[in-house]
Amino acid sequence: MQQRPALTEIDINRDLLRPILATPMWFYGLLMFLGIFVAAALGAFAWAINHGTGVYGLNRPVMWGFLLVNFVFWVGISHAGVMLSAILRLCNAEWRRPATRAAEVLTVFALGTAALHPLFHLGRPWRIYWSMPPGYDFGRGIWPDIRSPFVWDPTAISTYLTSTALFVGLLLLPDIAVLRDRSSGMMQRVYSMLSLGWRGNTRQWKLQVIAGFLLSALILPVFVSVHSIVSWDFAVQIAVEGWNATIFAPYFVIGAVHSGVAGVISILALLRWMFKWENYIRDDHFDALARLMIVVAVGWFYFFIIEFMMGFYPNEEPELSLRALQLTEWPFNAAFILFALTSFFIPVPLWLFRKVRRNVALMFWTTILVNIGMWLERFLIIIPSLMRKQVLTFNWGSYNPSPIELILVGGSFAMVFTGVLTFAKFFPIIPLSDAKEGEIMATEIRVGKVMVPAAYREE
Amino acid sequence: MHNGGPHGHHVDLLERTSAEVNKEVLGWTTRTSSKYWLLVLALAAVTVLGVIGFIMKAGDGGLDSHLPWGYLAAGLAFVLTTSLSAPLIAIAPRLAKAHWTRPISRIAELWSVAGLLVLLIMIPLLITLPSAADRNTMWFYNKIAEGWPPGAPYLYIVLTLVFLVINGFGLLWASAIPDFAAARENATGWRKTWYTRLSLGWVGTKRQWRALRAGLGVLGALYFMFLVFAHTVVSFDFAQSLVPGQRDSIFPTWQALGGIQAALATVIVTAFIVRLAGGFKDYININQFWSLAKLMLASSLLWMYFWWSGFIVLWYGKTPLQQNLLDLMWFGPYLTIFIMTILLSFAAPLLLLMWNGVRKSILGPTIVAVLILAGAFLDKIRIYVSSYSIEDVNAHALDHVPAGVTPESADIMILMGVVSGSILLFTLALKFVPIINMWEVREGMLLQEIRPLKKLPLKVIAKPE
Amino acid sequence: MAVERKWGMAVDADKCTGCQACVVSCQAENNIPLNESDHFLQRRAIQWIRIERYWEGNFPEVKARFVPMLCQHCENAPCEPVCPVFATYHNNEGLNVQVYNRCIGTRFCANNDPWNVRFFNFWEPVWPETMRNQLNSDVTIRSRGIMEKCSFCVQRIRRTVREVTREGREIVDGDVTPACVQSCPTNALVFGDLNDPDSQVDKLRKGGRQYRILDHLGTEPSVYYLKKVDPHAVTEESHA
Repeated sequence: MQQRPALTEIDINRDLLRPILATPMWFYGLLMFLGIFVAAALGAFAWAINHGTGVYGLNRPVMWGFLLVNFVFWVGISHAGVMLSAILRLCNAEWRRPATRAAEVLTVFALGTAALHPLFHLGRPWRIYWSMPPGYDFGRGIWPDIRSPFVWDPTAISTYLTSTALFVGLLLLPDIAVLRDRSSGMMQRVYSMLSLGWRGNTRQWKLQVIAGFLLSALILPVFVSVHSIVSWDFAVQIAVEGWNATIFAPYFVIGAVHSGVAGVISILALLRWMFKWENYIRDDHFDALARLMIVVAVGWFYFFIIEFMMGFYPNEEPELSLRALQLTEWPFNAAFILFALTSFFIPVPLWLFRKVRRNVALMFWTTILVNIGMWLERFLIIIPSLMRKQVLTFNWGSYNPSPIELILVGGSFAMVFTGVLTFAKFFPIIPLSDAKEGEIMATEIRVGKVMVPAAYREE
Repeated sequence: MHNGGPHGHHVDLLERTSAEVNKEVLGWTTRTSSKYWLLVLALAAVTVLGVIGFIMKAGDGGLDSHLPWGYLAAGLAFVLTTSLSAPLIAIAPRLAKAHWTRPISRIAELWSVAGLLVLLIMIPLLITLPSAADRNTMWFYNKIAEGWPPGAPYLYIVLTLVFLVINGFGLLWASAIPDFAAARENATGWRKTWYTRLSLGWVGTKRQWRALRAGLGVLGALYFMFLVFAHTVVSFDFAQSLVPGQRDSIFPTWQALGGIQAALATVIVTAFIVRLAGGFKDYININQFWSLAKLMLASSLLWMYFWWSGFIVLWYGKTPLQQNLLDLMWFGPYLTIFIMTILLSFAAPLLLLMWNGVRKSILGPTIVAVLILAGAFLDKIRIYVSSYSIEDVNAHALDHVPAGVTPESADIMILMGVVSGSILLFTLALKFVPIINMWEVREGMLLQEIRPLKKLPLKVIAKPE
Repeated sequence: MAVERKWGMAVDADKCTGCQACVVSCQAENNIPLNESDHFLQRRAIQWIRIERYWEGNFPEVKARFVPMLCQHCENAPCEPVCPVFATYHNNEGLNVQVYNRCIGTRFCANNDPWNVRFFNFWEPVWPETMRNQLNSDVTIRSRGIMEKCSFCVQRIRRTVREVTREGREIVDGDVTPACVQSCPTNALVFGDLNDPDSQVDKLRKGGRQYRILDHLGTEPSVYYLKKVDPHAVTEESHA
């Protein structure tokens, strides 16, 4: 960590609360602009409900298309929250401080958007509640089928969503109290209610810290299970040879961490630029996050190589035709090359250089590339495999996404950004208490002639 | 976290001068007692027993078929998983600039000397390994072109393991250079010759330090790559490719993860013993055991998660091949061993390490580590003996599950010899290479201190760029 | 009845001429939506039984092979455990049953169906006024968002069982004929009780020419295909 300016509590309060208490005009403009895309997405959904799933590009055999790709993508992005918040909190890493709440909020909205996708893609979405207990006809003993991964999915996702929301909410209490003490009128009443009587005494802080550690530890198994369960939507199927691999669960999880942490870095760069938070989201934070990304990316790449190589391992159809489709036929060959470049071969070598890691613009663009690559990765897993399910070549198919699907996919990005920005309008997206604690814990050690930056460590 | 609460607040930081560190560590390195030689003798005897067992078996069945050699393969895999994975505990935290590994990093790196044993065992295993023709291997032999890639799988197994062992030795040597330089000052006789030679003229200039750190970084990263690749290759060529039709993509990654778990356990047990035998209670204290225990808990949970990911896909599919694989690997003749593995590698670590008191102690993680090592041992037996029991490796798919292979006395002797052989190599090496990384520990003392923060003494940790 | 029934079919690939009479009669019997050329181009045409045509050899020695493909009614059907709402399950007569009312349209079953014999109503089916009288009143009309597939003409099975019980006798081989079996001009399709040793289908499936498609998946299909295999024939690449 390099030298940085000392900030007082007044500075911190003023800077981090500025988006809430003195919202700039362009903020509302941005929200309205995003709102157009959200409205378009909702309109597309209404169109699909009205006319039927025929408006999508789906057919036989490609019964799952862009919407499932998007679903898996957003569940993946949602894994950043826990990765950064929980694991770094448990490891006592100082550089987590600005990133934790932004990551958790990204999780909440990414997961919420992902949870909408089953509604989009179902044939009769008004009956979706039949897949959750108590199910269709529990009076006569017909509950949801627990053997189905589509029953595991809502269980896992709702658990994750609830626990992350609780996590955010609980750790937000001290900051809501700060807002309560600085606002007036209607907002003051709302913040009062939400702050649950926070007074900031020793007992309450002690409970906060304990709760933070406990929730971090408990949410880790949830986080691993969610994307594993989503991966088992695909891996348990024997009919689609390209999906029937045992590696899917950890492969998807580490891919999720890869794309999620990249998403958080993108958001942090945007927040730093929008709200001029150079003192809070500093270069060393990007440096540390980029080094984490290198480790995660290399791990992910290993899993990808194994998964890909195992496709060739049994040397049998239809897997060989599937890989030939992915590698040699348009548009999958272009998608594959783009995916390989954007998810690994361009970003990771760049991140090996300190100058790149500390350059916020480069970090922003490389992490956007990573997420383009990871969306393509899900696309390359889902759609070509359905096009080449078994050796019966009469049933090999193809797929073209429809405009409605494209609007829904694009609109989902707007939905997530709108959610995160709306949160930033009402609650501080960098935890005030964390920033202040960071200032207190920061210190220096003299080693020879040099003052090395250091931090107090509570054990 | 508990600010001066009833749990107390002890901060353990080593307080020594540099000269004291050198004296204590080098003193133990150069001093050999009769107890030590007794231990060496005992280990050597068991190792020789293992060699005798091998000769018995080779003479009896010969080296024609791979079928009798499952237990030897399990031994190779066990050493790879425990000893050769141990250096990771030195490499990874060094990358993260963590301070708690400083006293135990040499213990972790020193285990790479067991690589010599791995190379030795590799030879008969390669002789008995069936050729890659007509069966699925990760080298796609004959699938790309006739006779291509040449030398598969033997050449590539040799290259992987040889490079891994060389890298391990290189890492050990590099990290020991400053310590050898410190040792050469007061050494005599053969020690002085070798310490001088191996310290490569180290005097500790800025340039040399920078080169050393860069070298450690590169060697560490390479070692990690080679280790993961070695786990992949060994689990493929000595297990998965011997079972016709098996296509378990999580298997190599699961073995690599098992290696991380067993590496932590190996380092904990070794640190416990070294701490007592060498009187290093101040160097290796609660911090090391506590941090290792947290990692061990995490890796045990991950171990179970990886196993479950494999199981759910194979079990859900219910194709005849998948059902045969489930039988062969887990629920058939090796069911008892499998249950014991689940208990030792997952249930016991979870149920014990989930308690704060157990994690934050010295004996607790050590006991769990022993259980994990036992679990890893049984697990390797289960995997490799079952894979080696398939007669027709050229079939298209596994169509029946052979009966379990019970160990002969020669097999037991071999396994005992393998374990004691790796411990023997370590024991011999630790009287030459200082068992505690003196320069890293001294650096750690510079970068950590205890200071009061609002009346509470806290540790201050520096993270230099 | 002491022994439970297990409905199954034998499809004689040697006899099938690819005439598609079975396809047409199935459409008529089961109220299958009308397939226009658009539907075929979009790959959304619904044909509970279809003729798959594979080409063998190169010009001029080209041969077309016909394989009538319908739901295999597997004992261990992979499409069954994946439905979140139990809309497809295995009944005690060996049928893989699709319950239209319960289907919410996840299409999971269609993905885990190796033979691609499940069909989804992407659009609301529409029959022109003139075709409404042709609809079979024994069979439910499916709305959009619902999966459908061959049911071994379960309505005919139910009706026959009712009538035979009313007559006071047991079901014998030949009493139940699904629409496709009824209309096949070469008698390539044979339907019956696989558990009845006197039934024609049971004799055919043990006759020596039988095989099952994608048997290695272990799903135990109830549909057996019959083909005389010449062990001396030179195997060539075949393509669809």
